[in-house]
Amino acid sequence: MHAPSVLDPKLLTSLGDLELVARVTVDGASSGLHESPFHGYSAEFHQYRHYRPGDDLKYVDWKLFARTDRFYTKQYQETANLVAQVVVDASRSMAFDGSARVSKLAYARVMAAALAHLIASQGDAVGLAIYDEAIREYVPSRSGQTHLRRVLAALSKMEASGRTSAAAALRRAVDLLKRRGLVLIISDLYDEDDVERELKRAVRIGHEVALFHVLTREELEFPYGGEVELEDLESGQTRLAGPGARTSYRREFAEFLERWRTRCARYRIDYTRMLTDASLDTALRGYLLRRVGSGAR
Amino acid sequence: MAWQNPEAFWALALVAVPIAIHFLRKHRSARVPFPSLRFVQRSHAAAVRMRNLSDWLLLAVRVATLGLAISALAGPIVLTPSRLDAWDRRMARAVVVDTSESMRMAGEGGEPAAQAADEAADKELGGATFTRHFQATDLGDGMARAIAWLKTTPPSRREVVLISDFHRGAFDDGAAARVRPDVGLRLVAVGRPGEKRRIAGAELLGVDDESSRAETIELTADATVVTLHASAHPAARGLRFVLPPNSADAAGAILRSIARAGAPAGSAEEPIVFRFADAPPVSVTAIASPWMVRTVFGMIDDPALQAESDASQSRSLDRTDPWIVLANDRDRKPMLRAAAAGGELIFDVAARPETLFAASVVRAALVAHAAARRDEDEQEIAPIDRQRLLAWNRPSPPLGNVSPDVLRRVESSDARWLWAVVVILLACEQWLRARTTRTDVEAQRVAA
Repeated sequence: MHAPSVLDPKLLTSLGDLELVARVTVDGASSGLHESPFHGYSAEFHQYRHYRPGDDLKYVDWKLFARTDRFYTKQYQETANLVAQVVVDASRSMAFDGSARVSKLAYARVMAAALAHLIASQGDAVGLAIYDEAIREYVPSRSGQTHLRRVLAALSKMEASGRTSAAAALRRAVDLLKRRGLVLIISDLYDEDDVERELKRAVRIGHEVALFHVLTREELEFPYGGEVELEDLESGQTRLAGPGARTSYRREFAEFLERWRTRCARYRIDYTRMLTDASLDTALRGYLLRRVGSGAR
Repeated sequence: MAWQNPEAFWALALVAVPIAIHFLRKHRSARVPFPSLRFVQRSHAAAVRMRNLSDWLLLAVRVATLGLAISALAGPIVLTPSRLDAWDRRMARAVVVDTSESMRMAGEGGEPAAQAADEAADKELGGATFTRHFQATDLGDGMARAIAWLKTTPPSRREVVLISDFHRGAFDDGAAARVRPDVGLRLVAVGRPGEKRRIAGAELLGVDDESSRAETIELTADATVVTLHASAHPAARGLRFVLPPNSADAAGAILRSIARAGAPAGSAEEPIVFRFADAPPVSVTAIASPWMVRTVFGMIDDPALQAESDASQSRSLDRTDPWIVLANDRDRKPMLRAAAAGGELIFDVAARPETLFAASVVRAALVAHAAARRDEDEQEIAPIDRQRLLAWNRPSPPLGNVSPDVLRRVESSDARWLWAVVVILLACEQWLRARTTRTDVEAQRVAA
């Protein structure tokens, strides 16, 4: 009997410490990566100041101490070269967990946290937009650990509610980015209306867009063989599906996935499909490898 | 409306099934949350759920379809006056032709009655809607078969036509009464025997100084003359006695006594053996030959035997015992029983050969044996009075009230009309179901 993987989605999403979870996920995903997928930390020396108790000792200039017998702390001017916006779909459909017992929202939460952590650790700015029918929560893009904690705190409080209206939310999220940056959208993408237009607009503006399509195994395979009454999580509508519904569902769902793949290919949007029963690091790693391979910064 | 198979209506209980399924289905299916119903097609079975008026209509159509299908299986028959008239105009006729021995004898014109009977039968068979030809040596048996066939004919008037020479004894009131009141009867007399007929009668037993005699019987319409003349055949042929010790003369004594009383001679081809009390036993088997059976059962009602045996005699037909017991004594011990030994008929008499009972048994056996060999009725020359024949005739009555028996004989019910409506309803059900599905798709599109 072997110990469950620490990257098991069920285990990770059940941990309360999102910062720890994000770090574990990033470590797992980026292990072996020789290049940073995002722009590295760039800091320019700005000035010395007297040491104050509590300053990080790694910034103490020991050579100066040796010369002067006084403690001075180096101060740097941080330069964030990348502005990133993590956009998370928190509509009711994201509450579906399936047999993996990991909801899409929980999966999206960890993925968003990992991305935010990765970006922030590189010294870049990261923000957060949580949406359903409109943007429900917004954290502007900033760099730094303190800001990262704000982002993680917002993700921790995130709950699934409301119906999806992605186009308006995306437009707003993109408009909130003051300069060209990276837009990372995490959603189940059921709302296709006008979303393509907003994505195209975001790319035209100059943003780099990456789409993380979160799904459960049940949505992909529709394992219901007999007769079952299904209830739409967002609208509350119900529908009786018979034994023959599986074939047509799989066909139409495959067409749905193909549409998204085609759209993303058309507009050079990175498309990553993630199933909630797959380990988080695998999904993230694929994206990071593509990003490193493409030389994108 | 009448029904051929009303018991099919028990299946109407099945109508409860689609109704029950509808009400059960609402609660039976598990409700499962799902992110989006965009790609989920509605089940056709969902049409059973009562969400709106079209579902009520669908259930009504289905119940009606099932009900009409069951009604069609029940075999509906619409009893219109024209249909009943048509049935009454039809005739089912069973023609029974007498093929007994008397029909083969030459008649007045020198030709047998059978020829005239065939011509009459052809004429009768051509004049009805449903006909069947029966041949019978016994008119009663032929009539029974004819009536059994008439029970299966389609609704129509029914009659039995008997074609025979109707000599005296061939038909009587009892036979006429066995024809059902809803079946007509016609007696067609054919042939005419000659004014007189001479036939060979029985051969009588002669023993020792009693010579064998033979009968010649001359029949006329008014009289029967029996003439006895000497017979050249040996006496007592076919008879054998198994006697107790010291009874050598007993056999002769028996034969002499019954010959004087008058008894038929035996037959070498059908030998009869008599074993008496205290005689050596004989090995026997069960009787199987028809002449032995006719002889034995012909003895049962012989008055002489009845007088000698106890009134409480009983015939034992124990299947494990080859003996047939014909008479018991007061202590219920067999006095007379019969069995077979090879080709011989064995009578075991529980009395000594010197007794009167022994002689009675021998005579009764010979009389029964002779009677079984000859059907004297068929020799009768006198016909049944024509007026009497006409009195037995009666026309076939109209159908009247349509009974279940009549309904079962209808060739084809009116179920085809109900099946046509069932097909139309099935098409309606398909259309309603398709409309419900289209409505759902539209609603889904609007919602999306």
